[in-house]
Amino acid sequence: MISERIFRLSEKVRNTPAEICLDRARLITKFYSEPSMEPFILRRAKSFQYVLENKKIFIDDDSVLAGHLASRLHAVPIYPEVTAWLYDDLETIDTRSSDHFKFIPGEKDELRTIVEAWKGRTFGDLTGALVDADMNTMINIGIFTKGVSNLSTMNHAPAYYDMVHRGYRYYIDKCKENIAALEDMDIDTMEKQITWQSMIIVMEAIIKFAHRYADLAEKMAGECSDSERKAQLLAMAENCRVVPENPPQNFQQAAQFVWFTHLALMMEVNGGDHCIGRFDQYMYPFYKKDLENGVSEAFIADVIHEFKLKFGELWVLRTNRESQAYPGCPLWIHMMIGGVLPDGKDGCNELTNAILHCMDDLQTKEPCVSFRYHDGVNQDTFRLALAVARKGGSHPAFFNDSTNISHLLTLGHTLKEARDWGICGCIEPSVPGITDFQSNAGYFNPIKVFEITMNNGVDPVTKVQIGPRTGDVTTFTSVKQLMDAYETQQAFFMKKFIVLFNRIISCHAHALPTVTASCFTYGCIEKGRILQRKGAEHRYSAVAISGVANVADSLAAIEECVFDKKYLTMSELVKLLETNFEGKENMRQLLINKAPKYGNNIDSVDEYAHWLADLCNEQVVQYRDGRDGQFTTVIASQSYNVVLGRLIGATPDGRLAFTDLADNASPMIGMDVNGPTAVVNSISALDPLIPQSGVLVNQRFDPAITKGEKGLDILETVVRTFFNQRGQHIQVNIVDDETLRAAQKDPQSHRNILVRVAGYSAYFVDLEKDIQDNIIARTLQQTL
Amino acid sequence: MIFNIQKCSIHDGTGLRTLVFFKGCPLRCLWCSNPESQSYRQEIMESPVRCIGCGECKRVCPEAAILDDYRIDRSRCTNCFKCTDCCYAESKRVVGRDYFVEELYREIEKDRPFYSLYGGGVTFSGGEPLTHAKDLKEIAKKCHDNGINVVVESCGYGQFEEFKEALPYIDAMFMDIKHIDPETHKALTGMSNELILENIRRISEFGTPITIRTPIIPGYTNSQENIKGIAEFVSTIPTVKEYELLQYHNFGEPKYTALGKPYPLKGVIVPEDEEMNDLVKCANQILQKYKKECYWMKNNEREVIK
Ligand code: SF4
Ligand code: SF4
Ligand code: SF4
Repeated sequence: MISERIFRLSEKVRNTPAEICLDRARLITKFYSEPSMEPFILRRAKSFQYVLENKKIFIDDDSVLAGHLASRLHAVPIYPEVTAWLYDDLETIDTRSSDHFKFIPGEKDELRTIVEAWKGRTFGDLTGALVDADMNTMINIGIFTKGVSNLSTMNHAPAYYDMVHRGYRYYIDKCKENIAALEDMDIDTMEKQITWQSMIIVMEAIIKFAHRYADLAEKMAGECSDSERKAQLLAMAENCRVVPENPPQNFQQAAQFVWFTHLALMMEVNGGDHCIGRFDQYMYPFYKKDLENGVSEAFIADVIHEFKLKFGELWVLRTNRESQAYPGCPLWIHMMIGGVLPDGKDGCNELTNAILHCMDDLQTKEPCVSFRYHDGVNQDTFRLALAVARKGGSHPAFFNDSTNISHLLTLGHTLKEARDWGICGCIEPSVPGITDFQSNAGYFNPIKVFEITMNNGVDPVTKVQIGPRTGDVTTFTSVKQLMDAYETQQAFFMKKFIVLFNRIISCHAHALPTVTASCFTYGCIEKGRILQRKGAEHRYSAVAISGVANVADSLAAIEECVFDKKYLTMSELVKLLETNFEGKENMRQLLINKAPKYGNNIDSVDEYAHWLADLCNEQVVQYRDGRDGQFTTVIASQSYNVVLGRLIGATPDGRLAFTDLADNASPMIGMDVNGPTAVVNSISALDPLIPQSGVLVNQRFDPAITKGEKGLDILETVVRTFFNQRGQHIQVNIVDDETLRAAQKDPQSHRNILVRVAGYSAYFVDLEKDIQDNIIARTLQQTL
Repeated sequence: MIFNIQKCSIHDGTGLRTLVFFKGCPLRCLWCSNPESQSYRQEIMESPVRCIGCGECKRVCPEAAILDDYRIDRSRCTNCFKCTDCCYAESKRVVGRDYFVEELYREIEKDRPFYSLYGGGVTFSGGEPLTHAKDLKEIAKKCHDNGINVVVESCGYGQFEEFKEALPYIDAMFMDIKHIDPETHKALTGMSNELILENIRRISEFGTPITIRTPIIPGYTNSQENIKGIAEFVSTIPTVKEYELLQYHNFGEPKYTALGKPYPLKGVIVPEDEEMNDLVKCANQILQKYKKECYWMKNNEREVIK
């Protein structure tokens, strides 16, 4: 049951079409039109201050929490100083098939003028100039993608657990003390001073921004005749005077505090994937105190609902290509619940349950609620979490403490730190408050490399000799030879990929700081350095690996059909791939049916998946990232499996040219025919302990088998057992084909079906037809 | 010979189970939903939707038994399996394969991690596992010795002296009584039920916990007298605590087509929930006195009507 107010809010958020808001674009362009010689960090801080002082604000009639991203509900701001692609993609923003945004009449023209003014001078242009011609080809033909080149660094995870007990004033005072303690000036101390000054400017600006809401709320209260609403507005005003400057005094103020901070991260510059952290832990004292003071559970539930809806309202504008790869506008804002505490005890508490009950009543697209599982997890809470996920909203996702903690230990954290982990990005563990993690180094696409290997370094689609010559595969006599050739090719492309990422990430250090996040990540204030300039102690970047199943299946098919059983020769296979099996459907069927496929718990093919995961990881971890951080891998594709699939010809696993690849760590679509236990066993065989940033597993179940307590037993058994075998993450989609097909036909009456796309959920009807089909095609796990 | 191994089943026992289907059954129930389980030999199943029309089967068939639509004319076919060898699309495939005990055990063992929760394990089904007494004993022993819970699903038709060797390794059994009247039983399944009832008694004497099951097939087994009769019988068997009624479904129908056989139950409709409830109630009126319970499963939940 949700209150009428929450119902109205949720309807509004869901039914207001996403729009472009030009407010920020105008302000930032105006700001930068005034000449200045200030150091760039200071200038960025002041630009943000200027935006916060001048942006249009409003208070929605049903809200008790203040603050919106843009000047209207469900609108998105523009970052014209950062995004170079806007110049190319602007025209189709309102018409494109995935995640389109409406313009207020006339504003598209205005935006065109703004974008024109920035043309060639944006941050994206800065990074774009660093892409060599061959790298560009590699991107265009689908070997890898280019991460974070048109946005600020991502994955900010503030130390909310301390911040809610201190308020911003504490951090401002720290900066002031540090400045006061400075004696001599050299170029390093100057940087520190600039950094602290910038931090003070930004924190003060956010406090003032909150006061603007307080003023507005008071004004509206004065004009309000409804006594209940008046009281709400006055409470809101008071809250905005208290937080974020001071420590919050109750649950609602704490929620307001976190919301303002998150909003600031998003408004300052256009990164994403920022983490809310362990919400059920740091909010628990407020929850308990409120209940002791007589606040009702229902009131708290309403605050939780509204807090979540605030995140649900957030959208961002992405490039056309990204809007297809991440359809449904995910932001990967993870709210962590459950899990062990630093002392090893179970962290599930009454607030964990309250959050789950709220989700049971109303699912929102964001935040991604992520449930941390461990052996000693409270059984009732875990079952409740499973039941909520089963209900169809596909939240929460499940993460395994033991695997994630061990990843973080290998990355150099202490046990206590590691136990306080959260998710940044789609599934990547990191420790909030002390880490600068980059989840978007880009996607690396092994099956494309495989295709190039099969063609001796030539991309068969464009006929360009893009990789080294590793031999004519028709002369190969073993799979080993092919694997060696592949290894050489991959090493070549991986190096290019890493070099490119490091160039880009270096640009951030010299042009695009995120000052707000730097204030609240330990190390930055202490060192007087922003995040982008090695402020945080712990730094890593993850390279995403996609289409693992296609490579494993291709190797197995070649081993079985070419070298072992000799159904065909390598030359014949190459010919088949060249011609996309034209007129030879039976040979395609042979490759599909006579060779084992990843996802069925068959060692001979699962070993290839393991080999690939390990190889990618070995080749990646040998490098250091541009901020002298570690590199990690994550097996995840999001919906790039669809986008990249369009660039890849026929493959030896029997996949037709230019069709979808396997998603994430999943088996190839339709190839897992032995049920969920076989799938999770295959994924365990891949070894989720290798990629230190995780293995994304998406498992759709038929609602018929997951019904009742016994159905819940199944889910519990699959999840627990997978986690006992080192699984890192699993998300369940429980919705049948029929419902999804019905939603395709009649989107209007199925607006509320949330589906798991990849590490995030989206409303099914918001997705493009291609992606919808891909989700339906993902094998539905049934039992009889 | 095994015709299917199915992972991750939730029926036929507690927890998550691996189902191993023996091929070969002495009965011929009209409603059998696994017609490919009946013969003790390998057979060809066809799924025309998978056919890509490559024509290979027609080219290789020595008996000219492949028709123009690539379906098999079963009257000519000699089961030489030349066509299945070259049907890469698996539109025609052989069902039934022999396993070594070790090999079968390795397959079962793969899902061991899933068994520990909620008492999962392996369920041997069929066909009729009790007619594969020697193999059943060996594999059941192997599983049992390795700590895997063993359940057998059976129609009860086998030679006690042969299968009794397997009983020490079986943790529980599901045994069917399709009809209580010997004559009707013979008419519906091809065999009388005397041996079956006798076996149930003797297995129970051995001490194996048994669940009795009756498939509710409208027009065949769904009379109240039948259910009452079975319930009366159940009440005399000490190790039977539960009696489950199975709601008929027609999911087996396509398999008949695949085997080139007619479906004997064409037109029979699935019994209403109401009817299932009534029959359960009927049985419970008898069983209650004996602290036994009748139920049927709806949406994975037990429906017990008293
Ligand atoms: S006993 Fe079972 S397997 Fe045998 S014919 Fe009857 S239903 Fe089919
Ligand atoms: S071999 Fe198989 S796919 Fe080809 S025509 Fe015959 S049945 Fe169809
Ligand atoms: S199995 Fe039958 S249909 Fe197939 S090739 Fe042999 S005789 Fe012909």
